[in-house]
Amino acid sequence: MLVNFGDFLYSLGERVERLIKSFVEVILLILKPESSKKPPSFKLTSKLIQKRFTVHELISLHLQIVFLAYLLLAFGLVVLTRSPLFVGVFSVIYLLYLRYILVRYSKFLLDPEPYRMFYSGVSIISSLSFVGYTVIRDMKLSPYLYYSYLGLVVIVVIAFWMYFKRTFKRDYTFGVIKDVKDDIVQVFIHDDISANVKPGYYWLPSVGDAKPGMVVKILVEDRPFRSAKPVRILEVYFSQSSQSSTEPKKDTE
Amino acid sequence: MRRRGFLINTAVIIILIPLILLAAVYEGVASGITSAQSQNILLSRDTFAISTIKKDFQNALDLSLKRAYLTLTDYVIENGLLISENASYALKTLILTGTLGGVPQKDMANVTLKVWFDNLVNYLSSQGLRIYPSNFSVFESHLQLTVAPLDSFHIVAIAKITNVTIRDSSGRVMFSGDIPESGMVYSIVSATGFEDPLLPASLNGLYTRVIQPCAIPYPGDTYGYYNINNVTSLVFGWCYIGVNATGQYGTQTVYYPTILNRFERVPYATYVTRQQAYVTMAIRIQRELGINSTLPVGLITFLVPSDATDPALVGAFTSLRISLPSDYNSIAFYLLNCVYEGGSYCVPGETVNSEYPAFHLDNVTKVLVFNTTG
Repeated sequence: MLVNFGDFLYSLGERVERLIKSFVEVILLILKPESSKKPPSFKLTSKLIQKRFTVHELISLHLQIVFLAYLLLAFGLVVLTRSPLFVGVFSVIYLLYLRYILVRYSKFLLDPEPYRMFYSGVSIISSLSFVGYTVIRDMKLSPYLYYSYLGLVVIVVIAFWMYFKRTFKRDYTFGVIKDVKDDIVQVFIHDDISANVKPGYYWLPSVGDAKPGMVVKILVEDRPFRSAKPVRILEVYFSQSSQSSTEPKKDTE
Repeated sequence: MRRRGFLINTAVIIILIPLILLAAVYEGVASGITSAQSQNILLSRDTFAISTIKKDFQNALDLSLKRAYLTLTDYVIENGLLISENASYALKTLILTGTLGGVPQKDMANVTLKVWFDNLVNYLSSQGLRIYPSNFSVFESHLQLTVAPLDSFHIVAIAKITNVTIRDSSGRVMFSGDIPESGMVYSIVSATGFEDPLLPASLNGLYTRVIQPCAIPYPGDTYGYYNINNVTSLVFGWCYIGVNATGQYGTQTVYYPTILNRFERVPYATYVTRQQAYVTMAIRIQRELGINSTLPVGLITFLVPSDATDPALVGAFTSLRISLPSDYNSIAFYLLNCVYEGGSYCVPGETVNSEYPAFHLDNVTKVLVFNTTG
């Protein structure tokens, strides 16, 4: 019994040691992220996504979910606590995690720059506006000033959105022809933040020389507050690859 | 429409930021309004508490002063006039702690400011509030209390509690300052209808008078003078008249006693000092109360020792073996103090008119009462 108990204590100590070691590793990784060679698994997010999507969509979805979770939790903190400290610390943790994901996995994104820009931008704006709101709330000003502050945030958000659109907006995207039926073709389009297109299979009017496996450039039609709609094929690239030419790296799949 | 993953639009994400912030602001403003309302309720409760404390302090002082005056009168009649303490200080200690010369007075049991203060501390703590000063000995040093004559027939107590701090249970200061915030609390008690302590205390309880104003309470230019040829009301009225505290005629000066001097028996020099001090206080308080014309502070009554006019008085003198000089003065205060203290208290007087040969007054008083030396 005594020996068993000693063994138990020993294994307990070992576990604790391992736990501390991995904890320190995680902290170091988050503070000083390095580009990863392995694609991320994001266990929770991967359960939500359909199997046919690639790691690119997985990272994009993960970024969205993390950002939405941040918004909701920060809202909860703003409502439930009185001090700017809580939401400030929480925002810093979130921003560190976002930086970790972006640095570590952005090479698995098809076109990382707009993603990085968009999520960094909205995260910084929203965390600053939350912290700023808790600070001015502490000053006990008139309610009109709170709404003026809100108006200011709306202006900043719109300005950022305009800047983002001006820098990265495209009215076309790329896809791969999967199927050809008489005068229509089915194309697979990846998630594309620049064109604001949702990923998936779309049926489009055919062009003359369309064959499965070919990479095509597709015109999209922007719709306010909804994702853009692919309209028709603009150009056809003769590619033997099963992947779209917008994917710069083979090892993403 | 086919489901295309769970991804949402970037435009929606952009809109979400101000929307969530709007929700937070709305919640903040709404809770701000509720908390402002509850602050308002707290604030009105605070002001209610402060004005209640002020009113209560006023009431306590009123009751306490009345009871203290009665207690001192009783005490002096039973134990003799005050020899060392002055009456103002005696009333003050009675009001504060209900003691006289260190001895607790039964009649003051529940009406002292000490009891009031202890009740206040308990009441506030039952409301979840704490008051500083929190114990009576410290409270005493924060309390300004003066008892003085106001005019011939009234006594006034003025009081103020300085530097009071009231906090709620979280330590937030709800009130800090003086009670009352400005000025003083005044409490006035009339001596009319009470026994004059001087006469029974001096005459061993054999003779007594109740303080009642005469037909002309304040003889003077405003209310008129008594007729020197008709002094019956003064001789038989056994009433009191108010005169200016200091009277002068020619080279002669007479200091008339205030109501508080009637509780004391001290050597003449001490009497004059105290009388002057009382008069100074009285005039200052009259000014503070907005009385611009100085009200008389001296209070006198006349003793006419003759079988025809006052056999009870003659009987009292006889039983106490008091023999009066032939040139005695009928002002009770001077007559009695001359008997017991002698010296400068013995102000000689002459017969006022032939109808009552025992009614003797000096020229100063004659001028004050009759506007003539006859």
